[in-house]
This record gives sequence, structure tokens and C-alpha cells, in this order.
Amino acid sequence: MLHLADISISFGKKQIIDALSFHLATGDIGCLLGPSGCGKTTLLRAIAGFIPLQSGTINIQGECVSSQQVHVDVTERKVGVVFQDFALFPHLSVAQNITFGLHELNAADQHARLMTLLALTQLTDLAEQYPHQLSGGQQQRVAIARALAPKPEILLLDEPFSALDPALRESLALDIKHILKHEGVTALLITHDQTEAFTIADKIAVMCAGQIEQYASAYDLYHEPQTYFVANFVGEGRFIDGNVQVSPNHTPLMHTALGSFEVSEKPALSDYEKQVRLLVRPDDFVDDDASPHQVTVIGRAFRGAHILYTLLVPSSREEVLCLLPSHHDYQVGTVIGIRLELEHVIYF
Amino acid sequence: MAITLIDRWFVIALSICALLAVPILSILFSYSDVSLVLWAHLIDTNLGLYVANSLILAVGVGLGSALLGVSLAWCVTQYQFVGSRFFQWALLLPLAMPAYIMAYTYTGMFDGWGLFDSRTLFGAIVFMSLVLYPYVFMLAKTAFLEQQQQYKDVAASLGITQFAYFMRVALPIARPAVLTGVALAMMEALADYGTVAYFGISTFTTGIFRTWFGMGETQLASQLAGCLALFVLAVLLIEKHSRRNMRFYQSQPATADSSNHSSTLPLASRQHAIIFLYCSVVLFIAFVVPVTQLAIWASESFTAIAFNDYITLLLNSFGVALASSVLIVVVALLLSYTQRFARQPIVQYFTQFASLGYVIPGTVLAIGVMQPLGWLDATINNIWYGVFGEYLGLIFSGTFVALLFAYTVRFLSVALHNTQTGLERIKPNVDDAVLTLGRPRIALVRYIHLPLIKKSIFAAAILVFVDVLKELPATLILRPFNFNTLAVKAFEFASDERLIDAALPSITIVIIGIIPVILLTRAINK
Repeated sequence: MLHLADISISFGKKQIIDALSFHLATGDIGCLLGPSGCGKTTLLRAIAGFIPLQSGTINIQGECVSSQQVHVDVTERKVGVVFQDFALFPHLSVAQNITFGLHELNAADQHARLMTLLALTQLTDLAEQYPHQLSGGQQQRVAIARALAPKPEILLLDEPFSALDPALRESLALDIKHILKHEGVTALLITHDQTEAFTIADKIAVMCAGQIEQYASAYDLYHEPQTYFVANFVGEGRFIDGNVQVSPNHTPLMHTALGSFEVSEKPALSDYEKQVRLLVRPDDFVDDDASPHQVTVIGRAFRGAHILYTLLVPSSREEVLCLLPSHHDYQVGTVIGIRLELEHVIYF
Repeated sequence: MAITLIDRWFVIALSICALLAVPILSILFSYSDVSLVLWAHLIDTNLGLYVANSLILAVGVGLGSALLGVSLAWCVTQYQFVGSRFFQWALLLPLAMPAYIMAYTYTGMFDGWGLFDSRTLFGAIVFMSLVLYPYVFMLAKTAFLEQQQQYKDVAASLGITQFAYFMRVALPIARPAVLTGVALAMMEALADYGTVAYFGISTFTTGIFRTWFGMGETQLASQLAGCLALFVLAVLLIEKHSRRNMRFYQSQPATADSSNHSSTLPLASRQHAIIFLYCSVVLFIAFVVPVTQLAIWASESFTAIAFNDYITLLLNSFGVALASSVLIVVVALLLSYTQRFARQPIVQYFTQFASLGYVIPGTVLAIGVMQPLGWLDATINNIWYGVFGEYLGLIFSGTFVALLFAYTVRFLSVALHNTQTGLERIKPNVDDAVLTLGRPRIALVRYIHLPLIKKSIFAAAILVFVDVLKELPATLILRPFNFNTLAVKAFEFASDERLIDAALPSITIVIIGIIPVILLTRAINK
């Protein structure tokens, strides 16, 4: 469906996107997740046709729309975009906004399409209102309906929740997922917020410095990150030093200040040791007074059902984050026993 | 295709900017041939007078308008008194009155009553301050209104008196705004020709006229114009510089409770009376009295023949003002659009440079237009004569081309300011949204931009229209032979001491001049 092969984009001497490849299957909702400045907005603008490529190709539905030689104009690309600030036309009503891109249809077809979209986005009662009369969530649904109206081959959503109240984002994200799935549209979401990405997307590409670090499901990104950046960026977590010892006929082991763990390193022909950094997520800990690993509470943040503690491991002076049920209320300075239970041993 | 279209626009826009820079360049170019003999003579005779009078006038008007503007702004923003809301906009009305009309109206009244003679430098300073203080008033008023109530509450809780609060908090915070207003007033004072010519005061503007038309020394006049432009530029730079140093003070527009409704103070009846009286007296002297006098004179002069002449004058003025405002708005739109679509910083620099014309005094501008166009006409005629054996006559200089060109240079920034802010209010993503919906760029302009900026375009056209109507020195120099406008005729009648005949064109200018004041008030209140 959407296929990016080896694309590079630079502004002047600054390389923004560097030999990036990516694909998205029909009907899927993909996501580009990354910190600001990683090039994800540039990538979106290139797919939409606002920016030319220096090299590589962009294919939509098997047709090349961007390459060094080809540049299909943005008006002819059949790419819908939902902008960060929604970019609704302030002087047009909701209905007029939605039908703006339906200029090729006759009046009856326009009306039918409008009615379908209004019903889908639950805007039927607001059709004659103007954008300034709507709430942020309603404006966003108008923007989506307007972009979906001409039945684009792919819908791009640029940070669609950043202009909205953080408390509402998750429920709005679910609404939008429902709308997109109902229309069966292939969509690509761009965001720096992993909660949004996890809620909406089927597959998420984590971007850093113009390249894709890992393209996988939310579960895999969290539990089996393949690069240090992904492990650090997705979810909360800290790294502690580890020492992997490999010898023939033995299961490889990693020794850390919080215990030793089996790792899936291949047994080698000869003995060797390797210094690594082990990913420790807050939910990897169990409260255990009998544990040999006694740590000091140096910070705490109450989160309702849980408390997120910052703990100091005395033997290595390392800090880790630890999420424990809130019925144990440890104060700063308390020394507690903890056990590290790793389901996936992730280290780099 | 789109890219080549933008490229073509880009080239057109840059060419227009270059063309608009011609008068300034021509003034600069005049220094390539400096006659030491003439300058020595000028230094021996009048130059000192020009410099001194122009400086005294500018500084005096700056001080006068600062005093009037700041004090009035403080009264209407801080106190609740009878008519305080009325005065908030009514005190802007003197802006509708060109200084020279003010000057000869009062001079005529004083002469009629056998009072003192006001044809002095001091008189010029007073009259100009009375019509130019609204610049300071308007900006200071906005600055005072934007100051947050919290400042005042903090000051009151620290036991600081009203006066100390004004001196130590309110005025320092409003200083950048006040300075901008003062700079505008000073630039207008430096540019004034009508008042000083009527009073017979030797300043740069009258000196330029005398050197050009009296002595026939065009090169020297051009060089004098360069000196005046330098003075104006100095005022502009000082203003810009002082603002830069005071960015720290810029108050942010008050956010949540910006209404400031609780901030006005109820007054004791005696203070109340004093403040009311002060505002009323200024409004009377600066607007009501001269307008009434003009109305009386106009009704006295009213005859059928005079009325016929008046209609011709009116049509002339409206025609040239309408043509200029259409032309200037089109140019402004073209530049604003290039800026929006090309998204190149160089366009912005060029546009900014082109809009510098607003600070160039009309006299200087006229000289800057005359010289290159005169040269062009002479060259074309020489070539024509060489080929066809006859002269073609004037094509550019002394025709409407010259006049429209000068107006464009001078008033482009007025229109540009409106079209630019109008377009800037439309987020760039709106443009992108239209394109991704598969509509061509022309649909973007027609269905999205035009409905959203038509008010800005209209405002730009009105402001340019009125400015052109009021413009005196450039029109006086550049107008085609026997072509008169309201401003030119009012000035000529007044110069011949035919004040009663001057009244009808004058009051017409004042009444039309009220339109932008109303537009301005509505824009501020929005």
C-alpha cells in the first residue's frame, strides 16, 4: 500500500531523513513515534507531497508518487491529512468544511457522503455550526471527516492530539481508531506520545535522527526493544550495569548488583566476559523483605493504585525506578528489600 | 508547474521592490556630483536655519505630543468619569486634521479677532502637536490598558501612591509604545511642508522647494532631500534601538482576566471636574473649534460657481485616490502572496525595504521620483528625435505615472501592513489542507483566502485612499499641469490668504479623514 524505499531528504546541508524504508499494509494503522526533531513531520510532509525527495521512492497503491525524477503534485496525490491544529476553514460551516474536497461529485453524491461522515463522526447535529463554536474534540472529528471525505488512499495524522486536553486524549484516540477502522482507511499517525501510539496503531515505527530504529507492535516495542534508543524511549525504565559470562557447556549468566540472570547468549567455544547494560522496568520488581537486595528509597511519586519509587542500590550507587502497590507506603530514606523478576532479559 | 509559477511571482515581486527603491537610490546617486561652491553658499546662508528649525520643530512636536498623548491616555484609561469611554475614541479625531489646515484655520481666526500672530515656529509646534498627539495617545492607551491589574494591586499593597505608580511602574512599562508614537509624530513634523510653508518658516522641506523651484538647482535640492531623509532615518533608528533595549519591559497581553474592568478609579467630584475639563478642552481646541470655523467659512463661500469647481476638485481627488488605492492594494497583495508562498526570507527583507517609503517625507520622495523620471523622459525623447526628427513630449514626469508611482512608494506599507496581517491570520496549514483535498491553488485563493481577507483588503484600500487624499507636498510637485486636488487647492487658497475659499476643500478632507479614525477605533476595540 504505502511503500517508502531508501528515501533521503535534506534541507541545505542538513540531512533530515537518511535512507529510510518503511511499508504499511492496506487497512492498517501505522504510527511514526519519535521525539521532536527526529524527522517524522518531514517524512509526513514528503509522503503528502509538500517536500521533494533527494533519493529513494515513495509508492502509494503501487504507483510511484515521489522519486528523484517523479513528483506528483500534492493536489493529485489522494493523500488525506489531519493537521496538528486541524486547519479548519473558519468561515465555513462543519458541512461546508467536510464537503470542500468533494468538488468532483454532484450535489446528491456530496450530500450522501456528507451524511455518512456526519453519522460516523457523530457530528450530525453540528453540521451547520462553525468551527469556533465547537470543542477541541469536535473540531478534530471535523478535520478527520474532511480528510476522509474524498476517500483518500491513505490518511496521514500529524500529532492530532497535541492541541487537545491531555485528560481526554486517550478516550478521543479510541474514538478515532473506531472511525478509521470503520472506514477501512490505511492511516499513518505521527506522534511523540507513546500512549497515543499504543492506543491507535497496529504497528509502530520508532524514529530517531532520521531513521527507523524498530518497526513492531506496541507489545514488542515495550518487552523486546531491539535498540538502546527504543528501550530508553518506550516505556519507563533505567539501565544498570551487567557483566555477561559465557563459557562452553554452561548457560550464559549476567551478574548485576540486583542479582544474576540467565541470558540467551550462545555458549561460545571459549570463555569470555562482556560488559553490558541491562534494562530494568519499574514493573519488574517484587516487594520482598527477605531479599538479599536491600535498597534505599530516595524518591516517590504517588500514582493511585501504585507508587513509583526511585531506589538507590547501595552496592553500585545505581538508581532504578520501581512500581509497587500503594498499600505499602514507604517513606524517603527507608531501606527495603526487593527482588528483580525479569520476564525478558533486555541488554545492550 | 506550481514551482515555476512561484518562481515567476518571485521575480515579479523582487522587480517591484527594486522599482520602489529607485527614489531612494536616486537621492543617494545625487551625491555623486557635489558642488562645493553651492554647498558653501548654502552653509553661509540658510543651511543652519534649516537644520535648527527642523530640529526644534521635530523635538518640540515630539515633546508636545508626548505630553498631550500620555496624559490624556492616562486619564481615559485609569479614571471613570462622565464621557471617559467617549473620549477614548473621540480624542483620536484630530488625526483627521492635516496640520496645515489646522494652522491656517487658527491663524485666520486670530487675525480676524486681531489677536497675536501665530505664524511662528512656536505656533507651528503647537498646531502640529495638537494634530499629531493621537499617535502617542493611541499607543499609550493600548499599553496602559494591557498592563495587568496585578501590577496596580502589588503597588497599592506596597503603599505606593497613584503618581508614584504612574512614574515608576506604568510609564516605564508603556515607554516603548510611547516612544513609537513620539517617533511617528516627529517624523510627520519633519515631513511637514504645508504648515511651515504657510508660516514662512525655513526648514528642510521649504528649503528643498526653494532650492528646486526658486533657484532651479535640482541636484542641490536632491542632496538637501538626502539630508532630511537622514534626519528621519535617525529618528527611526533611535526608536528601533530604544525599543530593542526595552524588550524586557514589554508587557504580555493580559490573559485570563484581561478585561481590566475593575481597574478604573472612581473620583472625587473636584478631580472629576478637572479631568473632564482637560479632555474636553483638548478635544475642543484640536477638533471641534477648527471644524466649526471651517464649516462656517465653507457655508459663507458657498456659491453655484464655486460648487462647480468644487465638484471637479472632488472628482479629481477621488479619481486619483481610487486609482492609487487599487494599484497599491494589488501590489501589496502580490508582495504578501509571494511572501506566503515562496517562504523565502529574502522576500521578507525586500518587502520590508520597499515599505520604508512610508517614512520618507513627501518632498524628498517627489524629488527622488522627479529626477530619474525626468532623465528617462529626456533620454527617450532624444532617441525619438534622433530616429523620427520630432519630440514625443513628457511620458512619465509631470504625468499621472509619476504621481501614482510616488503614492505607491509612500503608501505601500499602509496597505502591506493590512494585507500581511490579514494573510498571517490564516494558518499555513490551512493552505496545505486545501491542497491535500485535491483543490488547485486558485481555489485556495478564491474560496478560502479571499473571504477571510476581504476586510483587510477593504481596510487597506480605505486607508490608502484617505492618505492619498490628504497628501500635499508630493502631489504639489508631481501633479500634471493644471491638475488640482482638494489638498493642493486648499493649500493654494490658504497661501493666497483666501481662507474662506479654502474652507470647503479643507472640511471635505477632514470629514473623509474621520473614516480611518473610526476604522482604527473599531480595530482596537475588537
